[in-house]
Amino acid sequence: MKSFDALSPSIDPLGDCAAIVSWPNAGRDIISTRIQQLAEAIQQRWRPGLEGVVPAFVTLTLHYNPTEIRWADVRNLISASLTVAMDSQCPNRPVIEIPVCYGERFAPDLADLATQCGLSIDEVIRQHSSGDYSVRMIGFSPGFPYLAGLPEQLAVPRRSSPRLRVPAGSVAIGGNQTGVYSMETPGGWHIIGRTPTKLFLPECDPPCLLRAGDRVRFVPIEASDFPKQQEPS
Amino acid sequence: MMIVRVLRSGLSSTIQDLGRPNLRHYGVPVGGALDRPSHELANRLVGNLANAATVEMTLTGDELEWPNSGLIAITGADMSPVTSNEGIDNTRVPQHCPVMIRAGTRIRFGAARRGCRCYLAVAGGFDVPVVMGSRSTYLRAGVGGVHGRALKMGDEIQLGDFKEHASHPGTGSDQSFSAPPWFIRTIDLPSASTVVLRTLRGSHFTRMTDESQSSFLHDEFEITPQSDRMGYRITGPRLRLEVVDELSSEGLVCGTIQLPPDGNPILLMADSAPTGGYHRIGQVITADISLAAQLRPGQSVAFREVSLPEAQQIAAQQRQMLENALLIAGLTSPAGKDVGKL
Repeated sequence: MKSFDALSPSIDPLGDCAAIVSWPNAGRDIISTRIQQLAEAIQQRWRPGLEGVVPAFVTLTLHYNPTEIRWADVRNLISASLTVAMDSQCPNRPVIEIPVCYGERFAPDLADLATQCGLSIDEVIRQHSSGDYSVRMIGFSPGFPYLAGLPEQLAVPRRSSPRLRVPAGSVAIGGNQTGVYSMETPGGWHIIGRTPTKLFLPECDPPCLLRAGDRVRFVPIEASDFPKQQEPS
Repeated sequence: MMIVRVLRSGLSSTIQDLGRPNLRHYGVPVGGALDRPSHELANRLVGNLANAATVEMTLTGDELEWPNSGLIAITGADMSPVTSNEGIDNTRVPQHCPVMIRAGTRIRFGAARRGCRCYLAVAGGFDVPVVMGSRSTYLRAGVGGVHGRALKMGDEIQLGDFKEHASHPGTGSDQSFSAPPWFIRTIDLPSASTVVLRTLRGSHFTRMTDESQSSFLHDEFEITPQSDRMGYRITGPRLRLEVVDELSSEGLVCGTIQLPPDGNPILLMADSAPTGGYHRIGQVITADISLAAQLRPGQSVAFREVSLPEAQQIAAQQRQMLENALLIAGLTSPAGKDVGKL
């Protein structure tokens, strides 16, 4: 199913209750913009039976209730949204600062990672906290942001054996991405610091600090700035 | 304030409603009752809306006590619920119909004889705090339900408001409960023979070898004990991809069948993460998720292909049959009439 978009997005069913839109011929950065534009355009055409829009790295998924709305209507709604979406502007979101303590106690993999990258620990910290990242998607666990924009020098493959428990708030690098573990889960990324900021707030609305499209910057803090109750035992 | 007291807890009983379908973009699983038609039926039988919270019991149920009289309904797996009032009786409590119970009644749910998940609704619903728009227990994050966990002995679960049916016949004297002589069932519970789950081809179906494509849609598989509300691990003929490449994480739904590199598929259920990066070889249709929710470890299953229009038609029919049956039950209170299987 093609639209008039020169990037030729395709719209495919994901089971009988979702549609997945992809851009097989486009680069990641342009796709990221298109996903945001399309998400906005679909919101404008929202109708009963639709359940949610989920942006991912290179796709957008639209969930629906098959007893309320059928595939053909969902596909048409997406096609129509795609033609509108190309012309729309994505508002530039403000940068959200996330304080990170890169201290040894919070960063079990920082020294190893620095060695792998051929950099000093200070240089890894400087680079990691120097630029803006953009939230490509939220996933893995509630509120976990996959962040694009990691300096190339800091990209290292995931750990060969994942940890069974990574503490909530752990800031980590996996491949060419960085992210923050939003709750205690297993995990295979290299832990280089920890933030006292909570990314998953189930009592709040919305329940997560970040959403896809947000911009993020890491701000180094001292261990002494870390609230006492959140220090590792 | 009305409550239900947990005298003895089952294997893993949790409070569930229809979950959190609008928070997938925050990485929050939809959650909620795994067998939605059974959950909804239980609610509707006691006059609740479909989204009221029920107790979902898994494989072995709880023993519960009602200090007040109340209207309940039990649907889904057959856990042989009996009254367990001390020295009084040991009477089977009927399922799939509204049941009026007397104050002080205890009901003991046993091991599931058929099916895996049993739903208990009470008029007014189980009134636990709403978290992220739902009362559903999200075990992995420890939120929702009763303190984010499965029920345990000594829990007292608050019930929502409803008008007490004090004058209902049969609740006054010797009997612990009264029930009408009809029932409504939503599904045939799985039997020992192979259960067929109707399935759509997944986005990456053709990435499998020809042999695996054929095997997936024609051979038998088995549900393993590594199965929970997040998903079922399935074994059988090892399925292989032509090329094992890494995919970007993207959207998933309940019913997605993923193929990790070890060749054993995973059928995703309601508590799965809403995104993931394994190849999607199939999608169990929405109408058969209810049946999938009733499968237990060791169950033999087969995946049979249907088309997308068929899947959506079946979903609409399933919905319509439930509505029709409820209409008949509500309008005519058919004495002695089996309203039938849906």
